[in-house]
Amino acid sequence: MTDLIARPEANDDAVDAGDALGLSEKPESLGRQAWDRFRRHRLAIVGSVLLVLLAISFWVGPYFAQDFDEIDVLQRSQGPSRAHLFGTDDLGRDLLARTLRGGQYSLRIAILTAVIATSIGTLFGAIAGYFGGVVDSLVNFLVNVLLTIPLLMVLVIFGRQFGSRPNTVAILIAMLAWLRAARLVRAQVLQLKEMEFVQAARAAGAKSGRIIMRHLIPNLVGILLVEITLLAGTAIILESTLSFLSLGVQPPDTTLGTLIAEAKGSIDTRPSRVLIPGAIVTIIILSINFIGDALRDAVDPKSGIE
Amino acid sequence: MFIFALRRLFAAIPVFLVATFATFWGTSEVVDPTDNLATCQNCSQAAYDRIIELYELDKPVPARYASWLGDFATGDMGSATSQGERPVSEIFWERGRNTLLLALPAFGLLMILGTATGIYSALRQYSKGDYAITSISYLGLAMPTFFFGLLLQVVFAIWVPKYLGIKPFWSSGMHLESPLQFVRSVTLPVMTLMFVLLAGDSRFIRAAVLDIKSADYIRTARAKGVSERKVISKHLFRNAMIPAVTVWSLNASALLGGSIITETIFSWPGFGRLVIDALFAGDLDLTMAIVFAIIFLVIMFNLLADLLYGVLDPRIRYD
Amino acid sequence: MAQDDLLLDVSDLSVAFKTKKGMAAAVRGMSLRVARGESVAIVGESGSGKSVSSLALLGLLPKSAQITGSAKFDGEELVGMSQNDLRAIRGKRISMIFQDPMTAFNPVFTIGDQIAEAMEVHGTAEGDKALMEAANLLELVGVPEPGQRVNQYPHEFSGGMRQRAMIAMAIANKPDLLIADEPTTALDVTIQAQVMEVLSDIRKESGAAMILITHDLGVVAGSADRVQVMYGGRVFERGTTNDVFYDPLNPYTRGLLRSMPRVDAIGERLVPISGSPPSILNMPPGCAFGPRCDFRTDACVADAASLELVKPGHESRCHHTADLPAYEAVETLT
Repeated sequence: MTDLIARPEANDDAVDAGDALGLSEKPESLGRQAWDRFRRHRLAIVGSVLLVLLAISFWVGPYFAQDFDEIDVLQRSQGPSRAHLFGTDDLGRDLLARTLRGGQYSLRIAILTAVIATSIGTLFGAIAGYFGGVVDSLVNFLVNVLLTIPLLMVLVIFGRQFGSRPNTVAILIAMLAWLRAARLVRAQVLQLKEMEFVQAARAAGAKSGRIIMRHLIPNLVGILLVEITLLAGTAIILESTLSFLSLGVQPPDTTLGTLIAEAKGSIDTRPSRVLIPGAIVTIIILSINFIGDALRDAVDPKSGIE
Repeated sequence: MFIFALRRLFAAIPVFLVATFATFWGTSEVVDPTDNLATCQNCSQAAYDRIIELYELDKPVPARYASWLGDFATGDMGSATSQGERPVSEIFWERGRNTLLLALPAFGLLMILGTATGIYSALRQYSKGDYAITSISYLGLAMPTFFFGLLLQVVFAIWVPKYLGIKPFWSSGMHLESPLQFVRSVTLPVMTLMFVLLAGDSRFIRAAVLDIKSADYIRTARAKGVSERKVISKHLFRNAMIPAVTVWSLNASALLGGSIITETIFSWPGFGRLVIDALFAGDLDLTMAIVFAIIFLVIMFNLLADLLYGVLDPRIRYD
Repeated sequence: MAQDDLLLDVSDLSVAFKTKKGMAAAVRGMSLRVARGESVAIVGESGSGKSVSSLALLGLLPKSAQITGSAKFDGEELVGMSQNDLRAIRGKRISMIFQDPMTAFNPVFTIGDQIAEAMEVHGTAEGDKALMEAANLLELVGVPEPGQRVNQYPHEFSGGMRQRAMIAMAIANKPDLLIADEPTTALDVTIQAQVMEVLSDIRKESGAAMILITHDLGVVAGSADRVQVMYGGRVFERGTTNDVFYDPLNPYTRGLLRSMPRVDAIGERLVPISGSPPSILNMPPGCAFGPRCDFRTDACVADAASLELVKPGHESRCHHTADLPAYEAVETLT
């Protein structure tokens, strides 16, 4: 009730007035509610559709396009034509084919990074939160140290050595991007471990590892899903930035960031070479963020629609 | 308060040491100062030995770190092999100043614009203005900094001159001849440096103010008869300053990191470009000096933020 | 009560919220009269409209709230009054004491500043004088060492002390009416009694009237002259505290009393009211309490009874007032 009255100037809380008064409609299943809340976000639906369409074209498209690595010296730096819809680069390679390939690699790295980083973060966060004490302090110290060094600086330093292949790029970025996940999981675990069902399991003599795996992690699935989604967006930004500085995936392979880096020199004559991959990156991240927000709202209704 | 500051300072020392040692170690593993000599035709064995001796490459990393740190503490930053062995300190201050020429205006604008748009958005939630700010923020969060920079170049260095016949801003290089030239040359890089961070700041402060707006104590203030203007300018604003400080301290480190991209795009002779050049040239001393400086500044900003929390939030205890 | 003694006269007050699922009627045709110096308790479960109605009086509801009806305070109509005029009344002539003193004080200002602010916005006192006055008020409500306490922040106060400070802030401008919204709910039982005592002492001294909003009948017994029981946004029963406690006329009131633990009824079983309060989005037809009532008949579903005077000064809203079994009064509550 207090929620309701505290916001005299707001016009938004009307939606929640019923809930705020503690008088919600008949309860539905949790999964059903989550799905309903997700659906409320029209933008997330649009984002999902866009992302699926892009993914299909990145993975299926190359079968119909030219070889991304085929050099045609007679067709160097051509504008868009029927043969080359996006034109060609300075080596005469088909830019459409390269864009598809680049998109595929960017998405692949993003998903891989997100999964690895979330796993590392969950592990560290759960251990720190569950055991507390010295372990917690150590993890905390590690996080503090990593937060001190600008992410990009570390990426630049190590990108030169490890950034050459898609998988190593993903691992490199993941090694630095797990901090937020760790912090989230730690906070959740601190809360969860005081709850009755965990206390009960402990009283029944369950081992720590079992409690973490069986009782804590399953309860974190929701926030982890959100974290993976949002991290995928972050990963694309970091990967493309690294590639833009020529420290990411090395030629002849390519990612969207690499494409932009290669096009930078001819920005005066053919800005579209920069704008197309840039726009694709932006659309991918935008879609991911919309989905992530909707997921967060679905998982944790308290977080509200943003 | 003083004791509190001192304690925080001491707590920061191990973080500083570990962070700098880790980067020193990492850089040493990755950067090989003798790389350049391998391709150098006229370079003698003597030159090679000199590099080994200069960087003490024959010693283990911890020993090298200790001796480097010792020199650094006494003001000796070493010499930049990639720039004719010019003292690093000279290059350091010159390039550092150039980076600050971008970072300081960006930081100031971020403080003002981030807080203003965030508070506005939250107070006028779901208004047209909020939708506009929110939409732009979403775009900002989805755009890599380098792409936004290139976009600005396309618009202001290609399209505007082409269609309007004027070139309002420099799209490359640093021009300090007059205040006007200065403004013309910093505008695009500062916007680039700021845009992505601004989007994040605005969203963060909006969310924080939405929380504060619905807090019980705001209702209490209204129930006392405090005017709406004062409820916002006193009760709400004062509480919103706490999350704002969090954002600002994060901005400081993000701005320094972001300078790498921005300076590369706009050919700005600052830290960011220098660190990349030095790294590629295998110039260990120069690379480390910049990395150290950035880590130091980030820690200082965190410390400053902690002190500010203490001032702004009475719930934080000094003991 | 004589007309010139009447401080607050609320009649046919309705509050509805616009929601996506339709209009939600939180308060439906409520009436309430409070005489000068009188203490009236509004009792009900959450969602009964008891808090919403009082916030509506002061214009503290969100804009989505639609308020109709009339609420005359000392002859002035509060419903539809401009925010500016309302502001002059808020904290000056009508003060609120909120439920959770933990969150009701602004964490970044000292208690003294916040009490002083209440005086400053109404021009009662300024600057150092206001701060000194704040210390006096703290002393009045039994906060020890008020001279130091006045410079402390809310987090340095215990829950009970904070609620005392809240009361000090509410009486800073010597209001005619105090609205205490669940003033003790967030406190320990032992502290509850102390705080209620402070409230009653303060009222004795200042002669302020009080509306006590609570779900806890135990709090009502010692501190209210009259009681008004609300359910589903409507008044279900109204009368003197004694009448309502010892001779409750309404099935809902009886249910409430039976579900309340009592010191004097050892061995007796508590009987909870079955079911839960209705959704304000989805009120049952007819009597709102119908679905939970043992005496429900078709008449109750067809239409809601009106509030009728059953005995002098004692009203009830029920179709079956006449044929309800006699209430087995259990002796002594106060």
